[in-house]
Amino acid sequence: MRKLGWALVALSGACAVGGIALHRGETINATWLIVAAICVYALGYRFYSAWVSARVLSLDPSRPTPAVRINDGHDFVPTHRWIVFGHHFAAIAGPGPLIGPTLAAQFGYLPGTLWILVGAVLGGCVQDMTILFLSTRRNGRSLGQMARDELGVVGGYAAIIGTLTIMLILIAVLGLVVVNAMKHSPWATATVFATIPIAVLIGVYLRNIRPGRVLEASLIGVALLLLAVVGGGLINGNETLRALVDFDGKPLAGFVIAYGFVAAVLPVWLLLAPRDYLSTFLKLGTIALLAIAVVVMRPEIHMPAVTQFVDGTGPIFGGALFPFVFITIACGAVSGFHALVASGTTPKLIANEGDVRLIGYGSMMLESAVALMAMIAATLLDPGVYFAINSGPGIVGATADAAVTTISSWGFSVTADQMHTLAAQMGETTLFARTGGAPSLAVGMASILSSTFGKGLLAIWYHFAIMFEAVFILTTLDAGTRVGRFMLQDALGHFGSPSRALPGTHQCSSPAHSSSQAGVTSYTSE
Amino acid sequence: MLITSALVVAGWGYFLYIGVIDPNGGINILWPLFGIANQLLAGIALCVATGILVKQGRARYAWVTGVPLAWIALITTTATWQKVVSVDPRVGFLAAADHLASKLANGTLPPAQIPVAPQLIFNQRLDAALAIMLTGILWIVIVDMLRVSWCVMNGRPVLPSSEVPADHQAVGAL
Repeated sequence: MRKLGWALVALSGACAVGGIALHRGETINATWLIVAAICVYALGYRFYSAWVSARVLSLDPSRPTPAVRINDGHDFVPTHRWIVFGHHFAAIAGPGPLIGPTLAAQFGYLPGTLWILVGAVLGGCVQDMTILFLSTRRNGRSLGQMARDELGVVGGYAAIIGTLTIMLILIAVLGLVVVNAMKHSPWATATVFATIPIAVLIGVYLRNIRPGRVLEASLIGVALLLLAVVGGGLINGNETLRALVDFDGKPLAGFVIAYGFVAAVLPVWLLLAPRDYLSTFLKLGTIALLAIAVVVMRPEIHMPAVTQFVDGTGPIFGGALFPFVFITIACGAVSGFHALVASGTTPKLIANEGDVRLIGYGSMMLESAVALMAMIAATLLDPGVYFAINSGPGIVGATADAAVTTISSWGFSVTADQMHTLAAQMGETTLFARTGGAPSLAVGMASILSSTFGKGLLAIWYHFAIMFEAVFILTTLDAGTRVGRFMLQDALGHFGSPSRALPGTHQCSSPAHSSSQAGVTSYTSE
Repeated sequence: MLITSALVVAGWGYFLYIGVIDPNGGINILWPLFGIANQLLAGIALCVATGILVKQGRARYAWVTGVPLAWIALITTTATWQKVVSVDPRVGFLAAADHLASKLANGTLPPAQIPVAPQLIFNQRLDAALAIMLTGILWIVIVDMLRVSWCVMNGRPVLPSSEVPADHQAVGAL
């Protein structure tokens, strides 16, 4: 009976994948993508991850984990599997899986969707689970240390240098996404700015007013964040206030850089840890809302399965389908940063080695599902609108007329009026050339969410989506700078002995202990 | 702490600034570099995993991480190759730098872009160098992993396993 059930799952999965791959109509319903994804994930988890954990890794639930053996009440704490799952998922899921698929949608919905499914089930999930397992068997050692211990000095150094460089690039890209979302958008800028005092307030609340009440403080924080979204709208409506928060890219970049520095030298409890709680709750809540909305709304996808840009002439980024679809999707399918979390705090919390399968493989599967939702949000927009938002002025032309002419000449019709109306609905002055992925994702999310949870609230949902992305990214800037600093100190001061623990997990202690753990690992949130 | 923090912030702040002044929106240069870097780190992780599987006598299962590793190595190396040698200024970092340099030289650049052009040109070249360096690092780790695997298969000495031995006694201490 059970076999029959799984055969049915396999059959419907095959039909759905075949359906989306062969479908050549005007539009396709997003439900097909969701059915395909659910079947692929179910089969991957039930069979492949079971086989890998039993045969390849030989997980041994009776073997005491470092959390059980060391149990120092500080870094090593045996923790319930679902709490570790939540921690690990929050740490690996950042803006990366949202933005990568949004950009990769320029190739059409099909290539990205297939890679999100196949890459995760056979690559990313296996990587996360294997590294988590290996680190758990080695007292939670970091990836760089394991490279040094198991391969040798050469591999070890290479891994450390690579990690530091990659971290700098990662932070810069995420900073750019935030700057592009705030550029000449007073509403977005006001809302994002407001998240900073809110986080500080929650930090003080948790430390001095009601210590340890994490859930309560987070609920207050989330309520304040929602108020900030509405408040940003009020500021946007007022001419004088509006001018105060209307900035060009350069001053915003200066602000983000100054913010990154100040935030990274402040104590963890004041800004990093509380914002990390807020972003975890926001993340889980928003993803759940999006999933419900997509299932309820069953939107039609308007993007073609494959566009002409597979030849490398795409306006959003240059380069052909192979290899750039695999490079662009990044975190939604396979992500090296997850290996840093899986060899960071998570292995020190696992109470039973058997949990490695759920936490390593399962979290990555959920992240892949988030990437798929971002793909749906990007492709349900009119392709013309999608390209108008995401193409830079250097490519389609600096004026609205030039841009719509160029984009229409590709066969994706869009008019200046249409863009103007959409911008007005979102409470923005323009949506042309809002590159970086965040604005177009926000438009997609806003249209999904407002169609299910409140029509006519498009502008609110748009800025909610921008705030949602900015909160993660600011956390990443801050935590990433801290971890980068530890790596740099390590590389400069102790280059002779790279086997020393990469700190990060040890040096940030805060009163609410687990907050430092949650905070510091979130640097890996892409 | 202040100095190293400042260094780290300066490191990413520089790339952020370059992205902001880029008239094409910045993301079309930086995102591929980010994607390449992230996938390269995945490659390093998969190398460590594959090497350890072989050392533990599970070479026949090494394909579980080895096949994703081969794919990651293929896509990152191809992407780096194209980002470096492509003559299309939309793809190649160096081609973009040359394209901009020639436009600057013959005065066909919009006036607003002239002051930032030298920085953009330098940055494109820096991006090319970074992509090459990171891909080189991945290949160093791959070769190191293959060396270790070869040693294991041929009975040569390798570093001992760093796995902590099972200690079933510890459960009682919980």
